[in-house]
Amino acid sequence: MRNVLSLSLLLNKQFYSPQKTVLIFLSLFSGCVCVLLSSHHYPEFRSTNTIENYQALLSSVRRGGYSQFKNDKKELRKQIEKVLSSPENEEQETLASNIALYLFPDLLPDSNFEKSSALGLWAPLQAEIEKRPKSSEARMLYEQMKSNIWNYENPKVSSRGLSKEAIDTLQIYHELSSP
Amino acid sequence: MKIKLNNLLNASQKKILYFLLPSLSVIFISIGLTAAIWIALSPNEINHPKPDEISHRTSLFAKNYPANGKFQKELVALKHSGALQEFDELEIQKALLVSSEYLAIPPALLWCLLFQESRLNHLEGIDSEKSTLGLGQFSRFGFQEINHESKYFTASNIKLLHRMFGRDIRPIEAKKKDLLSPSSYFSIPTAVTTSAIYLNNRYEQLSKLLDKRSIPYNPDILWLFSAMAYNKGTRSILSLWNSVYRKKGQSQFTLLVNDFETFKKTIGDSPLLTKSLKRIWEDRTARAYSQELKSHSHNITSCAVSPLLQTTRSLTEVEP
Repeated sequence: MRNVLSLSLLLNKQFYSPQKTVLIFLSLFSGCVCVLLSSHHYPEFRSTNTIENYQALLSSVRRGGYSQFKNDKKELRKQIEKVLSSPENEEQETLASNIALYLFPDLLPDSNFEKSSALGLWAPLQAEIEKRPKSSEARMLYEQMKSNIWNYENPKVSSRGLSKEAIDTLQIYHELSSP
Repeated sequence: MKIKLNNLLNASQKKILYFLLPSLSVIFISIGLTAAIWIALSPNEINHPKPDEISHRTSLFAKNYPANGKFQKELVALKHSGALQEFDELEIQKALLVSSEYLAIPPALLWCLLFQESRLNHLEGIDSEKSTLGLGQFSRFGFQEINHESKYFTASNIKLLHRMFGRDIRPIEAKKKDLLSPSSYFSIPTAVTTSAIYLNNRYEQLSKLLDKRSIPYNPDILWLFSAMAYNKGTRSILSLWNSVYRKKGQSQFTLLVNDFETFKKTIGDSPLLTKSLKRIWEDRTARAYSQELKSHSHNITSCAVSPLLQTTRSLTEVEP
């Protein structure tokens, strides 16, 4: 009992020592600064956290099938709509706009010059693919969509390739149209 | 007697009325309709002039091309070294004049674009595994658009193929083993026509967007943007347009698509170009694309635009 008492006193003494308090304060403060700096330096880190459903969409096509994909897409649409109506910062708005361009172009503001292109070049093809997934017709429509997106973004097929959102969208519809 | 007279008068009045009233009403209705049509049409003509009536008073493009000394020297060197045969040059020029006239493309722009892309080497990349080939550096997605996606674009494209070749020569491919086939992109008339159609499609995409928003534009400036879209995709141009529109408002944007000096200044603005491309690609790619786009448009502009409009050039460069 004496031993336990002396140990707890020792612990209390150590815990409440001024050095320990300063150390804990400094480590907490530097931790906060690190998180703040990293989120400022790597905006995508912050953005992917706010639109996490986008990353889940491809895996939902692969694992959960078409019905899962439809539900996830609906959820993502709600999220993008929310972000576009009140973005927290420019990075988040850019990411949401880029996702909207390839998956929900109708959500983009009319002032966006890209909206009409998306509504004409791939949105109708995506709707048709979703009507008859995993069919040979869907495959043909996917090939058209792929060509339209490549010509829209990178007609020279350079090694740098397409934007991330274009690649992800093509992967999603590749899965969805594979018979 | 009185009653009879009254009856007679009434009868004659009635006859006059039956004849006059319909005639007068026809005349007045015709006059009214004509006036209504005239009034309805007149203000539209005054308030909404067509874009080419606003700003396409004189063409930006040079009649003789290349307009810049750098490309002139290169052209002479290519001919001197035998890299560009006279026969090929004439064949390019012939196909170019037909295509540009049919699709209303400024010939100088089409020529400069092909020169920039391949130095007029119609067999460019034939022995390599490059993803872009021939006179207009066509990719497989370019062929896909020409061969299978004509529904998105003007019917004039197919009519041009009929006019040039007497039939629809599609599918067009980079046929390495059949260079002279009209369906081979390595054949000069096919390459020129196909590239002209692809350039025209870029113009159509951009002009439709502006028409939809009733933004007036100078077709020559839009052709310059189309040549940039030919090289770096329509998306790069639209991202730049979005940036200018957001940052500077509609009046400055309208100036960008109408005024050559504003166009030149904007395309030369590296930070603005990079920032707008950063909305599409990650930092490194955006910077590289920005530089490529800037230098591509500088070369095309200095080659195709009339030397009289290029004030920053030396006298030796403007010699015909």
